[in-house]
Amino acid sequence: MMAINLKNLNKRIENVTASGEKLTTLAHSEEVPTKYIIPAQNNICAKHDTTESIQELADSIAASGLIHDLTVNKISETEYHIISGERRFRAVTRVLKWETVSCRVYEHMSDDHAQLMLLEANLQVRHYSDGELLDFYKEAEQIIERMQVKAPQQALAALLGKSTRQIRKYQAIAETLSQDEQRAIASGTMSLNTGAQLAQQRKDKKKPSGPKTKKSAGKKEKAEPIPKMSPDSNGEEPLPNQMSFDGNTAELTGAFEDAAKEMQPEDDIADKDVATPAGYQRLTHERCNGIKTGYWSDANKEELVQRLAEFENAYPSGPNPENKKVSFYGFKDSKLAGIK
Amino acid sequence: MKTIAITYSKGGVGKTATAVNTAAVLADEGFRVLLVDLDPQGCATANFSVKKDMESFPTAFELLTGDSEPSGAIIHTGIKGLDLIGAEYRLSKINDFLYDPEKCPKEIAQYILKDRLEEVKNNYDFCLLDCLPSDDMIKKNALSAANYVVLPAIADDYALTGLEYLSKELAEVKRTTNPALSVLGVLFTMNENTAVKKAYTDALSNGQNIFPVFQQTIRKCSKIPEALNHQKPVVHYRCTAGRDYVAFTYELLTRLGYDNYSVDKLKQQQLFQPYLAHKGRG
Repeated sequence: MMAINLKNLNKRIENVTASGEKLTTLAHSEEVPTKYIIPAQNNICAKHDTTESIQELADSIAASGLIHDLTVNKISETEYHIISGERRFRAVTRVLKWETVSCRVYEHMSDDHAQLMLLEANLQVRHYSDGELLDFYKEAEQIIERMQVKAPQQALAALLGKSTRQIRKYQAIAETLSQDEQRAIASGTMSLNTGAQLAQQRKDKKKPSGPKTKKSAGKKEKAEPIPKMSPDSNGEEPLPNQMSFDGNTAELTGAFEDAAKEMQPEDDIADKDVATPAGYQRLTHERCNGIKTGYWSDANKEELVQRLAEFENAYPSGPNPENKKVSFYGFKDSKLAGIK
Repeated sequence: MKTIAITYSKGGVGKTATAVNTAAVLADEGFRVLLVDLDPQGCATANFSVKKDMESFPTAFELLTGDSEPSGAIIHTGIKGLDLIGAEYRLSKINDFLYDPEKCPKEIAQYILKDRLEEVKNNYDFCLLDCLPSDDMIKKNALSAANYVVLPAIADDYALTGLEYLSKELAEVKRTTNPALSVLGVLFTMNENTAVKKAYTDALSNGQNIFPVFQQTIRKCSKIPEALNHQKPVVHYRCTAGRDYVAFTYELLTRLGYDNYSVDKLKQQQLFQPYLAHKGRG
């Protein structure tokens, strides 16, 4: 007896699912008994709802009727999961005690698809802070990964209404920062940009070599794998400890640690050798990879202009070019360095 | 009245057997059931010892053309609570009527059955439509009139081809004539304990959730043709298929939101074997 070709079978099931997807995107209107409606298990959008806000909504519904139907995913005749409209549902059941409610009904939609719709529906109608969006990002990122979307960053950017660069910030935060730090961002006590900078700094610490080093090290790797671990920051010439390397791993590890120490985040404006007038508290955000982040209030802007004037008075000839290699857009070792 | 279309895009999968036996169990459970035979061969009609002369008595054809009131075409079967609207060869000519804009305006051609059944909706709890596999106006009418579809299938590769086809067909119906049409599930019929059937059953049950699969399957059973020979539903026999159809109907009722029809309870109370005795038929 020949074995069953499971690969073929799974392929066929995939085809059925693909053609059946059309069915799950078609909705109809229905009066659904409220006892059969179940709020979504993981609705991160509903966590800020209060009794007062629900009472307010109930008053509005009592006065004007339910303007927008609930959107639900029908699992069976007695089980409808809310995709959008949890506040409306609570208002009509807890306060108004309705027994049925009009719904837009989708059927047999997968949990992931439904959850993504829930996020999308909420993102479309309400404004969320950057910090709050971090929770949305984390939720959506997992779903999109499970759904094997081809361009996940673009999909997340479209969903959250943010640029792909912003999405990378969320990604860095979600991957690098601790749960407490992420909570601080979500609650607004730490700004998203500060979080992103922190994440980037930690990433930099983990990666002792810059992009260029990595590239050149990669080329050498085939013939001579050792310089990959080199603390060399420009990647052009090997350092003496590499040249003398004779297979002693302790020496190599030492070199690696030294490199890590040297790779402290650098800021190309407030360089160590440029004296900062004493008694000043920094007004601008720490730069991360030379990228300017954050916004200033008018008062802060005025303060900065004043400080700049003081700086120019103290250093009329500008920073010493011998000590300071300022690069274009702050990228050290960039080919664009030095271009004005 | 809940209208359930028993349909599939492939023939010979047990649509008629499912329609007849589900209708019989529903009637035995005390529901008022109307079975409408929409197959010009009249297979569902042949399951009952109908004493009427179908060539002269109103059938689904007259129901659709409006030559007969729905109540005029109803035949009482021997089973209490189960009524039938039969079919005969002339139903194959119904497309001439439904496609003729002078007799039947194009806009309403797909809604005729739905409209006719409205008249009897208070007399029945369930209406089961036994459909043809072919994609013609009769089937379109059935899918427009139905609230639910049940999809009997044999667990093999054709089942998947059929589902691919059906997903397109049902999407079209939902988009156009009947947005509320709901797929109750796929029922595996003529099931056997073979590796292939098990693999296909498992793959469809666990590998996708667009078409829910009924847990209960109908096993292949020699009593089905025997029952047909005696013009009785197989659920009135003591056999595997009979028991399976009872359990399936219970599962169907549970899916429809009826609380008292748990399959587990049925098994616990061992109502399968003495089902007939339980229903006072033993």
